[in-house]
Amino acid sequence: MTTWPSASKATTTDIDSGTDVPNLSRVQIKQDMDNVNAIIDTFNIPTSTPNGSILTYDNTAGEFNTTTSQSLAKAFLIYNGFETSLADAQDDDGIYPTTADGRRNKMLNRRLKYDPFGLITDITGDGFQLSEGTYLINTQSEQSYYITNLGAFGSVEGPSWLGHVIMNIEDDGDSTDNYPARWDNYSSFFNDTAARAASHAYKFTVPSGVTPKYYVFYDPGGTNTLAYDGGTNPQQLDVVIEIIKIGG
Amino acid sequence: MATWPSSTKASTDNVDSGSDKPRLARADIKQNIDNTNSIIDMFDIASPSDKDTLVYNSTNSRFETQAAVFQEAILQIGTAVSSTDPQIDITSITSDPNGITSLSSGQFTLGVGTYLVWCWTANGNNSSGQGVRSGAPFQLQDPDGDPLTVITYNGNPVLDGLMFFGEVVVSGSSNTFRVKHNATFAPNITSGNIANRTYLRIVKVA
Repeated sequence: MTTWPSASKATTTDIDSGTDVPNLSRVQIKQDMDNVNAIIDTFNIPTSTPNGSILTYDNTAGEFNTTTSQSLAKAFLIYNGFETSLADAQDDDGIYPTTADGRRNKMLNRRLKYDPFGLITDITGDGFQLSEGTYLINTQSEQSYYITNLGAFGSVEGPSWLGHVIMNIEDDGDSTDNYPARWDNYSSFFNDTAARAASHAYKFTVPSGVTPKYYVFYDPGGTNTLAYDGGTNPQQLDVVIEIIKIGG
Repeated sequence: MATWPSSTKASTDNVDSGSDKPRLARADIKQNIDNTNSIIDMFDIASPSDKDTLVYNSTNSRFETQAAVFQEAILQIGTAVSSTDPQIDITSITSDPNGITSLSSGQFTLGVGTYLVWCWTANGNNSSGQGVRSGAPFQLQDPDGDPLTVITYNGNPVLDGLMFFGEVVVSGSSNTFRVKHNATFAPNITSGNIANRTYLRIVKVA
């Protein structure tokens, strides 16, 4: 472990005046070099450091680096109701109907994002991408019968429940169909539509050079499309997704 | 674009002995100055504020100060209920490392900001044969606010899990909140303790 050179700062006695002779400052120059080298060794900052990384101390390596636990870097995505009125089938051109923001039937609507560390890249259909790293993703659905009257959410009420699924569009090498309106080869990232207060915690890694696309659904394979008012309006309950970057 | 100078550390071969001639260390001194400048460029710490974090910005390849975000507190809600007072006291602050809240008279205060609030409960409910049962609504209220009720959970019976989630915006000045719980009481019973263990998680997001 490198010792931070706070107790060994170089003096400038022989180089702080125009009449000084730098030749006499050898000891000070040596100390300064030692200190700079100690500073360099205290941090491990590769040129490929991903955006949003935080320097964290690694006791084993005896250095601050961006590859160990970074539980400070997190983002919140808040989704609510999903579309219930769109056909869940392709037309003759292979296109699924979508909303104006690119969501297919049963894809949840994202209404809020808090991402001060820049972990999230927004994509069509209210989906998201993450850069290289290891993440812990926690998701929670509210129980039924909730009302909120304040803040950005406005006033909504819902005697309903809302499970949630996150799906990953697999890149099959054909860039023309890797978006919701054309996508037909999605795989389950995690999938649990348990009703009421459903919760998931999942650790996963996004490898270098890979950019999976994640979308949030209400049970895409199921038939339960309960609307909050028993009619055709999308559900309003919230699904909160907390994404914590735990490794670089 | 700054590159961390781990592979270009200056040699001290020409300055580490009393007989060394510093003039021969010119290239090493130059390298050391370059390294110092690279270190300076790697961090943008011009005007840090209290509790700032250094976060890497890949756009300009340097660590920049990030204002303290996602300050979090966990509050425990008590179990004592009374038929004459619908408030259920918040009994303790389980965790609040950044001091975003304070308790007084069973209520909590938040400063100006935007917060996400979760309310979880667990441990089920008292049986119907007991004097007190947990019931709806379970509400986050702003006693001086309009509207009074900020978030309501109306499920009955109360189930384990996330009862409610919502966003609370406090503007102008700090504000005090309370939790209201509508317990049900057996005949001739006016107070008691519900079985639930209930927590509020509050995260300041802006």
